[in-house]
Amino acid sequence: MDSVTITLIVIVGFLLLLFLGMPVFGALGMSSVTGILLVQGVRGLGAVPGVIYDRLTVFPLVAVPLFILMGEIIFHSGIGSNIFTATNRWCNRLPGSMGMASVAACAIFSALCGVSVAGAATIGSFAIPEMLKRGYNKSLATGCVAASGGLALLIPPSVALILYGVVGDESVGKLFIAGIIPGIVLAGLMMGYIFIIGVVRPELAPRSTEDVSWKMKFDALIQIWPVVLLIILVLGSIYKGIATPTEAAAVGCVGALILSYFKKKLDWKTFRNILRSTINTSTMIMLIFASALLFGYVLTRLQVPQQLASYVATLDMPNWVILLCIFALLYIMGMFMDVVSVILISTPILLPIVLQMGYSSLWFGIVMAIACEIGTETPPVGLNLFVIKGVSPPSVSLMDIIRGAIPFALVETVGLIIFIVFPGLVLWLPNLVK
Amino acid sequence: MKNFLHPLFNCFERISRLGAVLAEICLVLLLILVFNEVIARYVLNKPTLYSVELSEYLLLFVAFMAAGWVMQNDRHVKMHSVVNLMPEKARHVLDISTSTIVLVFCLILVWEGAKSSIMAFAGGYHSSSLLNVPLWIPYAIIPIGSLILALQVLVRIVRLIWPPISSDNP
Repeated sequence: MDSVTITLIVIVGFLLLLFLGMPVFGALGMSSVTGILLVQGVRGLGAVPGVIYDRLTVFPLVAVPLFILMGEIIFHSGIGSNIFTATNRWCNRLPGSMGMASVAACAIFSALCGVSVAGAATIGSFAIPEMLKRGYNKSLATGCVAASGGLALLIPPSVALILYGVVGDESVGKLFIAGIIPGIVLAGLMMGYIFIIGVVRPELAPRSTEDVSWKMKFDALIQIWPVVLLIILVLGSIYKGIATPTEAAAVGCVGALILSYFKKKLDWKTFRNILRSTINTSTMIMLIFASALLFGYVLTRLQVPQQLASYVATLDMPNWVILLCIFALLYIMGMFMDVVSVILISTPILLPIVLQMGYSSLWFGIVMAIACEIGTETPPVGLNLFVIKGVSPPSVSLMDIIRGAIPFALVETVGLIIFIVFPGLVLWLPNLVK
Repeated sequence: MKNFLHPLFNCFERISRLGAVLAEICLVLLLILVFNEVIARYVLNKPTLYSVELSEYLLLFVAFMAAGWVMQNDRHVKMHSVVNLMPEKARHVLDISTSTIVLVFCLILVWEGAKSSIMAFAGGYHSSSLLNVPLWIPYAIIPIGSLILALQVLVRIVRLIWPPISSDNP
């Protein structure tokens, strides 16, 4: 059998199994095993444990469970409500203040945890009822949290960026630093959108009538100083090159443990719960990672990425057309699959094409994370939509949330275009780090 | 037949839970190990020679040991959107067939993983670091974790075919 047929069998087989509701790791694993059997016969299967073992036991990946752990500790510490209180008091008099405060709180929360659902769930569970009480439009109130929760994919620490770094052979530390400015810009764009809504259609986002004194503002800030310290500690040590992301993750975990100990939120039962959910999330991600390694191995043996890259080069199309196709593909994948799978499957295939076009893999990691982020808030499989549904009052329907998230997805698309046109925005900060 | 299988399945599920507890312990060890390395390197200026390698083994443990437990709770990432459009009956049949395919994949991991571990044991392979760890030990983690997962998938398949009567459900 020639390699084109085998490639088709592997890819079609994977999609089929996936759509039939098989766990992602099984669909990836079984289609890869079929590919290996077709290429090398039964003998080839001997490589399977080695492929997984060699690429799973790398130090940067150790950061994955540790950052998930840090996020879980923060999630259980109850500091999320303090963050929202602080941003809410500081935005108080502005149009659309509470929506802007929710976005800002999600962005800050994203700098503490690595997976997108935690931020959306935590901030959403107090911000959404508050906004509805204030008389916010249901769609706006839920959509802004669904969208800004996704910032966790981009704002370091981000598990998605770690996985990209390991698969795409890029420094995780640099990726983290590169995610900072785009994360802030995207949060800014979303807040700007809410601000404009607040000015143009105040009935959707009624303004606050409360008086917040300066004392209250600073009191709220004092409440969250440990969070700020923790963020500076983790990101600062990576930025300065003092610690690797894995080491920073361990420091972050210990810091978060101390924080929740002093908030009196840490007892044995909570600790067990934290460990349970960390293991649950880590295992889910690492198993998909392990089988995506096999998938990548098969595709590389079949020379798919190389062939595809040289084929694209012969097409003689302008770069923007190719980029458009790549991002359209990522959008579609992001609609149907979880972020981890999208990144792990598409990186080995797409990265060679992008590199050949003269872009850096650092830049591609960031724009890919943005594209995936948009995927988490678009139906049918937008994970954040369901998370927000789970923490919203029953009066909010899934359709309300979807309607609310779509404008934010468009705002983020504008952001994505900005970063595609001006790669310098992404690359400037990491290039300062030597 | 169900009476015969029941204690066996309980035993499998206990093994899965044990795997999860072991993974939790390893996670805590991992945190202590990496944090200890940070202190040793940046505070005491005496980097340890073992922590990077050990933490990689622990990561493997964290990744594979709880796989069965996650399966027991049916928490592995799946795509529901297409399946949810199908009638109940078709979903049931599909669930059984996809689970069987997952079982095959797990068994391949168990078989090939065990072979590579046994080979490392027989050949006396050691890691090329100062720790000089016999490699069959980390190699064995993949097949053991996959075996726990395979047993749990088996439980799932049998329960899908012969649903347990709720009264004798533990």
